[in-house]
Amino acid sequence: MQKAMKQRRRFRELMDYVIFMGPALLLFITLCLVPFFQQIWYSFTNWDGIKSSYAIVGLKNYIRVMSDTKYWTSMLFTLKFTFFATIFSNLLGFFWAYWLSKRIPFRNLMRAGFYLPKIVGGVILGFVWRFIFQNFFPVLAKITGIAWLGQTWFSTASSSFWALVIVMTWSSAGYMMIIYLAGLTSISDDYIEAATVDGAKNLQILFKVVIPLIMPSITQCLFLSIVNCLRMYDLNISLTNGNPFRMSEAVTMNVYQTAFSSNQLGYGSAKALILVLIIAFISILQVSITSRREVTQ
Amino acid sequence: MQATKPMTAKRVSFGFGARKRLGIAVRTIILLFCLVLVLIPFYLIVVNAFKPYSEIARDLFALPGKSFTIDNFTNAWRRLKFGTALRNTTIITVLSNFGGIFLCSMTGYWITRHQNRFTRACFFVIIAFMSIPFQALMIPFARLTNSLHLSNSLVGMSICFWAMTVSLSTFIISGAVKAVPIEVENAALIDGCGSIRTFWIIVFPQIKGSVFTVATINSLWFWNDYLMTQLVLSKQSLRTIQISMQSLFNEAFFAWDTALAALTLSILPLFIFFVIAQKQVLAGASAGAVKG
Repeated sequence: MQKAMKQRRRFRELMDYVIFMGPALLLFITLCLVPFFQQIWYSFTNWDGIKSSYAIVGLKNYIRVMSDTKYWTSMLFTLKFTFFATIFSNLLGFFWAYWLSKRIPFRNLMRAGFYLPKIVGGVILGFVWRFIFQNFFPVLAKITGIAWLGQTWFSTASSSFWALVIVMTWSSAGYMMIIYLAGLTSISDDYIEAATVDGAKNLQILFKVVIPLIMPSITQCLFLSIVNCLRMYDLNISLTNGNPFRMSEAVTMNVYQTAFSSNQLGYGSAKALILVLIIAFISILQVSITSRREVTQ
Repeated sequence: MQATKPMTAKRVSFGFGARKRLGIAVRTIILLFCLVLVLIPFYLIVVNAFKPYSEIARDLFALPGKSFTIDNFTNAWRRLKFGTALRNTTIITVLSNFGGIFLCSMTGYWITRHQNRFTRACFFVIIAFMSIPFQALMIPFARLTNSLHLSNSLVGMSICFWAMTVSLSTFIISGAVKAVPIEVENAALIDGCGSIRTFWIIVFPQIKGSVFTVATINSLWFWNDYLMTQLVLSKQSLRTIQISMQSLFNEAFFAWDTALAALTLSILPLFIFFVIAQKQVLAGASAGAVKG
């Protein structure tokens, strides 16, 4: 009797697990984990994505990637892009947040305004800026007298590169600002006050007190922007589409071309996984460097 | 952390001298100048969307004035099939949100309240997946959705988003559940309230704040997604706003006046959303920052 009841209770508990976790886990496994492991598997095959048969080729794809100059040019392009876009958007975001964290009028308006570019996403972001580069920048060049701004954008490799950096900065600086602002407002006033009483100047307070205290936010922001830049795709195809002559092609675009346009799924998978490994390597490196500098309040 | 310390000598006590006020004024002016620079693109897109092309070329900054026209908008609406695109995007965003929150809130709750080796392992895998970019699975993903008959269906697209949001949503919600006191739940369970009812009636209302955060983060993502959507939906009648914009800009007879109206139309829904849900969006921006 008791045994039967115990069994029934165990069955009900099991049912609860199935009801609460089952659907989400099932979806997560079939649509996230399975394709992830499949992609790893494909990267060791020569599958073209059409034929039903394929052969295991071992590390051949990876060796082939090593000598694929186009891939490494786009990798270098992506790394350079990530470097500049991360630095610019974080400097701007931090600078805005630092001033907005102090007593200042229109704070909420400015907070929302600086964040606004972030809602323009996907390919729309690039299209908006095509117009701005082609029509507004020549005007801006006339006003400021900086001829560089008035160049024919997207016609040279360097103009396409800087266009991408500018747009990425515009899009994410406000986002970084929000995170920095959250970190800055959590700093207790006592620290700054103590430093002021000790006669520290504003800049000293910034570098010796504020920055060490918001190291966690810095870690987070750098991580976010680095990962976001390294996997850029939408902006790339909508703004420059690789022009001129595939010279402004970031890695994801290169992978996409290989896998879907030239039907080399196996080879494309290897390329994508190398990108993922590089993303993992850089972000782990960055997090371990910056989080070592974190101090506790 | 020393939050309980009495705030006796605040910085304000140093007074509001003339120099300080000048400093504030300078900072405000510089920040406002930056803000204007940041917002110029929005101004230019919207203002020029109401002008014929000849006027756009003549003076970029001028308000439409006499040449005011909404022809661009009617053209853009027609060429983008904006009605359909807006409908598709809205259906996907709403369906994905409801499903995602429904599934992930239950999972997040269960994992937090039933700590054992199995749930901890699940949680670890789910969290770890946050750091894996879509590029790491997109190639098989495109074929998988095809063979599972998820492609070319709005429901199928939403199901894909349910799966993709499991990591982030479960993570945020399980964190929120931790902050809910467990006593009421236990009392309800002892009184014979089933676990499903206990969750939806007692726990869910208490984590509403985090649910809203998840919903805003997800909405912006679902609405703006391009790479994944484009792999799943290829039929013309199922185009989202992002996809129809991409095809409009690739058309041979491309004109900026229509394109600007199209851009304005596409940005408008999210702008309205941002104005209404500003608080949640900004809160979500720092909460969702954990998503890699």
